[in-house]
Amino acid sequence: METISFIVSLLYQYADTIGVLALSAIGLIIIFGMMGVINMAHGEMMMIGAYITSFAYFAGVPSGIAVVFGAVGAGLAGIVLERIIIRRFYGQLLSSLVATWGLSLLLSQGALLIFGPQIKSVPTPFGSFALAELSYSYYRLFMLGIALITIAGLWALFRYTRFGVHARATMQNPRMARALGVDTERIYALTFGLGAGLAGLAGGLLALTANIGPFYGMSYTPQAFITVVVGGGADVITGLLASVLSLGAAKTIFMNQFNILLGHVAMLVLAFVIIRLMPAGISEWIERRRVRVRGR
Amino acid sequence: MRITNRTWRPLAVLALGVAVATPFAVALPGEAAAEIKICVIDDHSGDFALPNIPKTHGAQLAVDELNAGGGVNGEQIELIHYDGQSDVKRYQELANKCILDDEADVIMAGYTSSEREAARAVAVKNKTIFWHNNQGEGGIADKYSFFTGPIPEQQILTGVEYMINTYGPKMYVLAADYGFGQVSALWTHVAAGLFGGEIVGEEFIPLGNSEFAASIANVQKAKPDFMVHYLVGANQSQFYPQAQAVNLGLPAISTVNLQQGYEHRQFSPPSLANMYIPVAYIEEIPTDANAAFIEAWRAKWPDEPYINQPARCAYVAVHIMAEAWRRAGSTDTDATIAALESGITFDAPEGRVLLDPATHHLTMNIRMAHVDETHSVSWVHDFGPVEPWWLRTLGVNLVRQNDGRQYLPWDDARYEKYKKE
Repeated sequence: METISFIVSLLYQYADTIGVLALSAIGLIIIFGMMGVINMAHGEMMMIGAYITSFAYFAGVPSGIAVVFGAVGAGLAGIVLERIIIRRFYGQLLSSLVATWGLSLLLSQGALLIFGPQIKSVPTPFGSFALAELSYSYYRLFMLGIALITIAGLWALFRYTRFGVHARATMQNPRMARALGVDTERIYALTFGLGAGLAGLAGGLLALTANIGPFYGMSYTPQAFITVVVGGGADVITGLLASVLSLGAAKTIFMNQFNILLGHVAMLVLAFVIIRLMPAGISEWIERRRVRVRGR
Repeated sequence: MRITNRTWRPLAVLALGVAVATPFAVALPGEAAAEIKICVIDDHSGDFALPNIPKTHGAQLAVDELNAGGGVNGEQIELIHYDGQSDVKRYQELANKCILDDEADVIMAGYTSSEREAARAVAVKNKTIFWHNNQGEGGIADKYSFFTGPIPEQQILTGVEYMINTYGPKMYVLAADYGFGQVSALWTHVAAGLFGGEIVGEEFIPLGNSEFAASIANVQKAKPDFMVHYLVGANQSQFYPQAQAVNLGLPAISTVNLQQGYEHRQFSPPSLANMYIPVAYIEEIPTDANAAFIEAWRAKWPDEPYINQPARCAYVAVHIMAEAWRRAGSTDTDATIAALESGITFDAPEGRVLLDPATHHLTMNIRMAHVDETHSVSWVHDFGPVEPWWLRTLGVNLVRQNDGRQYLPWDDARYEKYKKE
């Protein structure tokens, strides 16, 4: 009984951790992997998603649809910001970093000025279940499910759709893509919008189980950045999955066995080791192996 | 890397922005004949803006009441406010400004213990009277320092004893991993030792942490009768929705919630259901004096979201200072401190308070608030007036000698046996 309880609890905590990690990193890794832009305003895109979700919910919209509003709203905000600001900084890693950081400050402080230090939080749906003496939340597991479905959807989007092919072409060789008639400007705007929308989705989903304020996204961004750096930009989906599964495991085990602080430390140490061994991230390392195998 | 125009321009804009954003002090409107100066440093921006804006209003309300009644000793009072921006580094600088530029007669500053200490050090060094108008970890014995907020013997010892008697001896402690949380946790060990409780688990949570799946599982495994929370800040408040999502359903006592950030109005019910909070003041305090206090307040600030304990603390502090200046007949620091140590009482909204001459803390009425599923507050127990007795039992008597230090529970030989390994 004790062992079952222990295993179930550990698995649940693992699911909880990787769900949050994956959700908060998806939008960031799309923008970084596909466009080479480090979006420092990622947390604020999550905040926008969460705010829209909360406002929609309290305006009478069911919470599930409110989250969709949040994702779409953040995505549109992303497209607007890309057109006005981000597009001026392509190919300049440091400039885009400073520009998006400035954007992050503007958005979070702006939200503080307009809406105050906290807005009303949305109740968590679905309730809880008890198993082997401990109780668990359905919704936290549901978030992992949505994260996995989103990742699968992205994979299909980039693999099978016209947009996906154009996007990949634009990322590989923008000039050639343009020569072949791809509207690369539009692809950039849509990709940034997609990343921002996914950040908004994460913000909205997490908003159903969190207290929301202007700096709400910032508590998720550091680990989202670590996840992206460990995953690498060579293959967005593989990188994200490998990174989330490994970092989540380190964090969960150490949090469970020792304490919260050591959980965070373990995740950082693992990230350090991975980056030391695979400087361009796990996905690049896998990609190289694959090429080598094929080359033989 | 070559610095191109494109790289440089945003950097320049950013640098300019930072320079321009360097804040300007806002002097609240004072009277023309202002002679007595109260310098208040409260956070009006950054993380701690929410609980601190009402705090400045509390001081302002008291100043306005006094000035409307003709001021003190025939002089009007001027309230100077500086925004601490929730940044501890600004407190030292602004406290210096209060003393050197404004020549303030008293400084009231600080929300967190670290902000308090940064400003207090400057005030004490310059022999200026200092007030901290928030609850605290207690133990400070200093000639120039005065306190209006409740301290551990008023909140933790009383509250934990109540919880043990109501729910049973086993408790699980979740505390923020910094000064206030650690000292409060230690006082919880003292309370458990004194009243037959047992601490079945204790976790210190890093300030930036917002994920609690592991902690929630640990609490469930330990099967406590109740939880003790010293969780602070927006990140750690994520414990409540997450605990609610798994339907943790344990009663909890917190000395942090409601009285500062009015979480019962902010969070969606029922995330704080079945929480107990020992307080001196929250807006729901059921006294006639409080009804009048709220009415006066709302006449000035109709849109104030909530009147919290720091607001009441600042209000009380200004009125006690006024009475001290009256008794001293001047604003001379030594004469004012002597007056402050002459047993001043004031009718605070929750009941009469007494400034204890020996410890510079208040004897105040403490009540136990209970939050239900709909986040409404009921009053389950009245502890009556609780004295700040602990420092006195250590031999502190500030009237006779200035200790100029902070005592911690392990400075008390009686409590050493409760010290955790």
